[in-house]
Amino acid sequence: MPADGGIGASTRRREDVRFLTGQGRYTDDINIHNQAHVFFLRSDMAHGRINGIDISAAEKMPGVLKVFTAADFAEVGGIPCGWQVTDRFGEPMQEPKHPVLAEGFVRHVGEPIAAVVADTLQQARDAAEAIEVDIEALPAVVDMAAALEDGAQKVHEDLKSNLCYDWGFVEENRDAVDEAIRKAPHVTTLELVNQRLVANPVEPRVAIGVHDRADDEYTLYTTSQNPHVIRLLMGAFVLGIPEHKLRVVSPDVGGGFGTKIFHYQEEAFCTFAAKVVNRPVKWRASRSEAFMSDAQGRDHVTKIELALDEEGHFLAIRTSTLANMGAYLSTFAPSVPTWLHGTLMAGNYRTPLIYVNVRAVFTNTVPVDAYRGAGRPEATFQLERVIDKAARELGIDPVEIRRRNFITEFPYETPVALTYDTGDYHATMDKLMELADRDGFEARAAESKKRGRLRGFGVNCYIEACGIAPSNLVGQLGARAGLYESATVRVNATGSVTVMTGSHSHGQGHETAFPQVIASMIGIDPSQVEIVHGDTARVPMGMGTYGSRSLAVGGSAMVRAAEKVIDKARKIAAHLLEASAEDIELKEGRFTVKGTDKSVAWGDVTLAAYVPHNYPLEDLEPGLEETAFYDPANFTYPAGAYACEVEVDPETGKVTVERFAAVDDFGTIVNPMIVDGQVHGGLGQGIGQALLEGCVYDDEGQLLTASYMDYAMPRADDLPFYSVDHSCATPCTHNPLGVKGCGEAGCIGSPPTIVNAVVDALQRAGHDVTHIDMPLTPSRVWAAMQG
Amino acid sequence: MSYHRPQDLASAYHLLAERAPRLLAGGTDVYASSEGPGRPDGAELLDITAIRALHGICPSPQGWRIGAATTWAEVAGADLPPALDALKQAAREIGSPQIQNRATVAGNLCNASPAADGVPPLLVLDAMVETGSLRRARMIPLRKFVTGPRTTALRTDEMVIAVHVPASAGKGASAFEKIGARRHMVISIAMAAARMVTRQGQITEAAISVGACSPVARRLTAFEKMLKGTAATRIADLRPHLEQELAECLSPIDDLRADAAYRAHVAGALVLRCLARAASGATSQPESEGEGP
Repeated sequence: MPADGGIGASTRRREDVRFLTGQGRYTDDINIHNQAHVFFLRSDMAHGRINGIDISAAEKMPGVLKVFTAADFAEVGGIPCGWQVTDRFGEPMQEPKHPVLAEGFVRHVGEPIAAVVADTLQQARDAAEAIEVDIEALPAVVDMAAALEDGAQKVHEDLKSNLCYDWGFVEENRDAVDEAIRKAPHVTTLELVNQRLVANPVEPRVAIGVHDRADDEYTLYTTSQNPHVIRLLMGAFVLGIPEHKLRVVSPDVGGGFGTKIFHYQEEAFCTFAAKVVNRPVKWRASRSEAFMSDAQGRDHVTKIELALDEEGHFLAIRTSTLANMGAYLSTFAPSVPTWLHGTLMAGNYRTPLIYVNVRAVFTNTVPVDAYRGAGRPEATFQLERVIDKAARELGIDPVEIRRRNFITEFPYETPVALTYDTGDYHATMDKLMELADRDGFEARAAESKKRGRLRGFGVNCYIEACGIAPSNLVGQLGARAGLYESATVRVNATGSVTVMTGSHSHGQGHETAFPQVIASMIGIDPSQVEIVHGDTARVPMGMGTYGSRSLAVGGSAMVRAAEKVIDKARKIAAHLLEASAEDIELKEGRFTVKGTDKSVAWGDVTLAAYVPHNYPLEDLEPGLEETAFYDPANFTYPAGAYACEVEVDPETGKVTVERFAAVDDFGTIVNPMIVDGQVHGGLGQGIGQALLEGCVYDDEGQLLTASYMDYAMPRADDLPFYSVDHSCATPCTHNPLGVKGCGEAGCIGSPPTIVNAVVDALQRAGHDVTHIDMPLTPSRVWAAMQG
Repeated sequence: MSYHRPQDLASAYHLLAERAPRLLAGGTDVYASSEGPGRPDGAELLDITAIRALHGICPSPQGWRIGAATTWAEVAGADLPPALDALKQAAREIGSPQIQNRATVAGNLCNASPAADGVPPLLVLDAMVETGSLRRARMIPLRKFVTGPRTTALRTDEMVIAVHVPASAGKGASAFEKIGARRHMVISIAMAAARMVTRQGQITEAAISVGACSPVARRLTAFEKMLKGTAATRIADLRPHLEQELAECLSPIDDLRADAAYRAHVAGALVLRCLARAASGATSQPESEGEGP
């Protein structure tokens, strides 16, 4: 570990002190003088026509300030979608209006119909019970395949059908892929479900809207991963508030996992209502509300075909997927099954021909959007499962079949539009075999057998595209925003540094890792660096935190701004040292004239910048503060190989994960301890998906898993100790730090590892089981064993 | 909402008779079934935890008395003979350690969930439920106390005072098994308990129960009879008879957690595991009929 606490040091996270001692400042900790409270009356029906809403009794209830319905939002826009996908035929996707409060119809359980603002939450709740809503039930659209049949009940009457889009990628490859599969010596086919998940951050969503009549300015406090994006979406598309009159603050946020990227109705409601009632308006989701109003994740039904030659070389891949959008399009929903999924179908392998078809479907369910990994777990799961199945069909070892197809030369252009810059997949696999002790597996399997348990070994690789994203590229793909990041590096007169970053931190440790980078660049102690984020009034611009992009994109912007600052400081130092700027070097916090002992301390230079008595005023402005916008040239490509061992209890079908090894290539690592933590958390969520979690609706669109009673989250004793390694690093070639991103890897790579291992355990015991859909509950595993 | 916390049973009986409050002990079910903080459902609450007579586990020549306010953590930590191992094992698997520190044995019975972890072990211990009210005291066998899902024989003016395990059930050894999606904080898919007394390797007494597979947890009386006189090592041979009785007396449901076929199968597997463990506990005891209280 570097002694200076710079890049490479496993420094303890400074923010944890306040989180662990109850000093965190979460949105719900904010209470504004004279605030009122809102309670949303939500639909308990999945689909229905609203014939009338009678609020007269509720309006007269004690403490009620106003009862809002869709009529109050007639002059207001709908919740916008941030990505427009173009379908196979060149047509834009179907995009329904997404009202703040239900307009004429309810389309999923949990959709807000009316909202009561009252002095207290209790009064608002009581009044909500007095609202009479006359809803005529309509058939609920739940099953995706049925939703696409001719004559199916439509979720949106004004749309042509329930098909959001029919996307083909790469469309020009379609015929060639069909032909390759027709002619291939061997084709492995797998049909699978990547089940719906609920993200479940510990902190539920909260919003507080404030309107200042004195200067007509609004402030929204919200639990967001990207306050500037919320400012843009809500200000420009929903409420028509210009940026300079709208401030959005996201203080400490207790986990996001994607579900806090999106702009939600409750945010727009509180901001809008604050002006109407002339009081701050606060909302905090209950856990039940979170289950039926936070955007949910995954929900793909896929058929994948892998064509191979006799030696197990991949020839072509063809997939067909139904992707559930839910009732409305959440902010980035259309991009997840398309550009975040189809582009990853090459995986770590040389497959010359790939065609991905995705049909996105509207249903009467909670909207679905990005959840940790977003599209990449879906791609990885189907690819790594079908490869495993193919290996078994061809009698090739699952590690060997992967090695035979690894990409070995970089840069590598995939047939699905990406260019991988670096990687060393053989080295990663070598390390994995050592870490997982594959050689010792048979002995452990024999020991398990003695105890009546079936042991299996699962292995797979993954690759992801992170560091989202080159703006010109995503613009062509339908993004309605740029995906750069910005940072301002402000050097104070005494030499300490304040960094304003657009990358929001909600568990990732930016407040610790970002200062390590600045400390290394300048040669000062990290404690002299402060990170400011999460407030549009304090941070000039930001696109936020998702897609493992913070260090790769936000960190790069910070580096660029710091370079500008150092460049200017060098000129000031040159003046003070009466030397040429080219001859000045910055080392360990001092500017030195190369080859001499003449030097000046960082703090003396920064003081001169603000007290410019001896200063080149004709050439340089006083002050030391610079801003940079960084737009990445390419995605980054973290990749890795995972292995696990499971035990299956043949009598009960219960699966336990006994060992788990993860080898990841994240490029340069700034804080290894934080990276380990990110991987551990991701593995926990991935294993949760594989074994426990599943969001289920019945045929009427009722959410059956609406609480922790029925939605099983992983707990510590459901997870094994992990062996994690990051030594096979090939730094990213196109960003200044060489970093790739580590936030989602564990969640992307681990679900197929578990399923591959369970299938291995069952096949070794003579069961003809080729696939089990997640979650692998005891009941499902036992049923699979019965054939 | 009003909240009462009397110090003695007489006051509690009066409140019960006059105000029909909801009883509160550990609160783990009351809290979960209320509409959330700041949202009392209107019922008055009668907190029984300040009544001394309701606390603790007392052995006596008649057996063991488990006071109504005794927590599962207290059961898990109590000094009890091997015949009560099933109860102690259930105590360690109910909810989570935090829940075990609050939740009570009597509360688990009164909540009357078909998946109540406390019921199967107490069934194999022939437990009796002691109730009290202003008007009368009753001793109700557990198998008659829980009358259906969420219903008990308790009248509105009555409360549970204690759960009794008779000395006759203190013989042999017992075991408890359950399966759920995960180990803690989960609603069981199926569970079983068994108690066994052996003499020279022969089963002289067996008690078996299955939970979460019928509206109320059941004893398997026919199979129990069949086991009498069988060698403890031969139990597995009788599995077809076990499965026949399970098919006759259980009515497992299909739900999110598991389907009926799985429940029926796994109940049998858990029973056999409990029997094997109980047999191993019983045969390792000295050739007495177990310890008295």
